[in-house]
Amino acid sequence: MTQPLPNLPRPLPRIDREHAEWWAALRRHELLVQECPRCKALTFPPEPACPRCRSLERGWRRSSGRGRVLSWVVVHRPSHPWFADKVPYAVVLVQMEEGFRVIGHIDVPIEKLRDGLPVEAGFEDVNDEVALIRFRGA
Amino acid sequence: MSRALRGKAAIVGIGATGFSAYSGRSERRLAVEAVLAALQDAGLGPDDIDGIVNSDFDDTNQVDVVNALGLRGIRSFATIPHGGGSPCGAVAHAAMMVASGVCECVVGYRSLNERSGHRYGSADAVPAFPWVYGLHAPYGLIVPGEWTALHVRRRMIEFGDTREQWATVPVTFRANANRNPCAMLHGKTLTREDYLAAPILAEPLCRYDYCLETDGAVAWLVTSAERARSLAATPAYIHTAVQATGFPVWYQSNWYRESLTTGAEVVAAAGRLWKESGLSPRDIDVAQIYDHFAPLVLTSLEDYGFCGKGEAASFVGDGRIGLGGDLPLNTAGGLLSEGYIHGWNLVQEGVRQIRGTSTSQVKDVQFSLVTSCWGAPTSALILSR
Repeated sequence: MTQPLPNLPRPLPRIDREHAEWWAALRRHELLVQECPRCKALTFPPEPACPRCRSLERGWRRSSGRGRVLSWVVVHRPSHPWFADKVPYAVVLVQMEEGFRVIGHIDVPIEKLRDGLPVEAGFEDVNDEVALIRFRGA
Repeated sequence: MSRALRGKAAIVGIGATGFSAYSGRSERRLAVEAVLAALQDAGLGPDDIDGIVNSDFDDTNQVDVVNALGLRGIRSFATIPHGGGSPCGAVAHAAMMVASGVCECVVGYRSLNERSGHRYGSADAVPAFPWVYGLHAPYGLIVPGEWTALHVRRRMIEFGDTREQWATVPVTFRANANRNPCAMLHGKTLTREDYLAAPILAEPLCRYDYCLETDGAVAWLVTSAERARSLAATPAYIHTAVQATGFPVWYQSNWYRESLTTGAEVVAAAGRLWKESGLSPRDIDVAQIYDHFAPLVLTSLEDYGFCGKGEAASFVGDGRIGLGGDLPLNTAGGLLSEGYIHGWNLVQEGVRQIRGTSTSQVKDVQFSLVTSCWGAPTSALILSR
């Protein structure tokens, strides 16, 4: 199963127009969710139209950053070379207070992870364009 | 497919290459070999083919198949999207092409050097991750197993599923593969103890929860029910074939929608399948359930209505899904143990069960179910005698 992994840079997002403002906000250390200016429906991942009222006008709302762990995975065998010296690592799915969900890293020991764990979003700067979400216990 | 199309077309030829970790030949060559094998199986020739379909993610252009085999009479062609969600949908489209009168004989093929060539999810696939992949790949969720683990964890939280319970799925499918000389893992047994001792890759999944990576190709031929009756093999009539996207849906990363343990696309496909077939899960004699990951077979069984939500882990116990059980599953070994031709080999086995030629043959099969991928726009197929 195990084979040498090629030397590759850290995996990054290729940011498109739908996601540009979301990533720009993360780099400012703000977590946003798309909010329809017309019907106030929250949509994440962002879409070019509102799936509820079909408005093409799009807007954003700032999240409190608070949420609860809904699921998590602990990766033991790295599938990307950048993570080879980081295993085992946990990735969490968090249900935010506003009702949308995001993926993030977490500064909580793996053995302490549980359904419903209260967390708060922090941010890890990667480069001039990208910051990632790093949750901590709340 | 509407009720009006029921039983109007049949699969009359199936063909495949060997399944291996290294084919030593091009995907184009594999596709052509599989098509020729399907033609021979049906007793038809290249000049009989007037329609062609395949799945997306396939690097063998239809033009290559046309040119290699001298297919001079093609008058309709389609490529069906959404990867593992497509195989039964490709059959549905072939049936529509035939039942509409546009075509008389449609060939479908899927060819890949998935193990020796480009491997899905391999880290060199993309320098930067587009679309929703960009929202999780930077955190180290790169391959489908790492995404699926989030869904399986929710099964454990909501239903109390355990690895001991769902081990039944890979162990049962392996026993089927051990009877199938064409299966990649024909000669390798898998016990419950082997399963439980396997190293964890993306917790809670171990290697035996993952489908194989395979070099190989599968092809089939669909023609009208009328013509099928004059051909050599027992026709596998296309009783019902449906496609559905549900809403919302992504590719195996469906954690943004309400439930992580119910597939909106599969529930939608199942609703149409039972309504349009006039059948219920109790009428199914044998099923090939898309097994990209072992625990997702449980979720699929629930979403297709074979048991209630959260009940599948106990439903698969007591030998129910093995040969001789009430609902034998993945009788050639499935994607976990026969080979991974992106779900097309499940269609092939569904046909064998109608013909009576499976190496794990179920007695008196009237209705044979095949499903495509959970977690992407999907499709399902009921074949009948």
